[in-house]
Amino acid sequence: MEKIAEFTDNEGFTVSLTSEKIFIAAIGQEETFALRSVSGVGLFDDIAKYNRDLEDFKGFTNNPVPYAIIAIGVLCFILGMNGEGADLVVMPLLGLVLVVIGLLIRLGQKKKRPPVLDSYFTLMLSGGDRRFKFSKSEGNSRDIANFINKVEDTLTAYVSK
Amino acid sequence: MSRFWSIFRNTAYFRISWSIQDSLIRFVRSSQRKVEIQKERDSIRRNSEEIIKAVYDNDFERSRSRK
Repeated sequence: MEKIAEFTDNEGFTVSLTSEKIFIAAIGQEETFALRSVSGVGLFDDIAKYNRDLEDFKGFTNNPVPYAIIAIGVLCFILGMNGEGADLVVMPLLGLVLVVIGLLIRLGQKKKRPPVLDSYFTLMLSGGDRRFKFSKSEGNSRDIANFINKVEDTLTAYVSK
Repeated sequence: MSRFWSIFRNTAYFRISWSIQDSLIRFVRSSQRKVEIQKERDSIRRNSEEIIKAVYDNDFERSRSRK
């Protein structure tokens, strides 16, 4: 039978649709369902988790600690340059180390990747629901949308118009 | 008879104090829950632009056909 639509979710499940059946396959696991057993499809976006991740991300990237460390470092450098004896060596060196540490922390902040919204696609089957995790921003999201569109086309009312 | 009233009074004190403690604990917990819910609402409101973008501005939504 020819495949009408197919996608692979974030947990490694490949779901294929033909004109009569739905195949769900993963390493060491395989399931086949008759299309007539599908009673609906569902979509869920985990907004609460995304919001929490977003707050953590913003809290981490907007943390002013590295700026404070750099400022203290610069201050130490300036004070050291105006000092005498051992201060002339130790303070600028300490200032330099602090500036480097501050810059490294800031670099780490910039490298942190923004959070991704977790979405779930639920296939409502007569034997129980199956849920697939995916991300709307990833490459396979178009395949999942296409798959849902095709499955939706098979869902009919009691009296099909 | 006086022993009976003594036990009665002690039990009444115990029940009243238990009830007051219970309502205080309930009040603190419900206040904490309300504050958490309000914080989450505020945070969602603050991040609404990013959330709407993440939910709707993607290839998935563009490829969906709702007939």
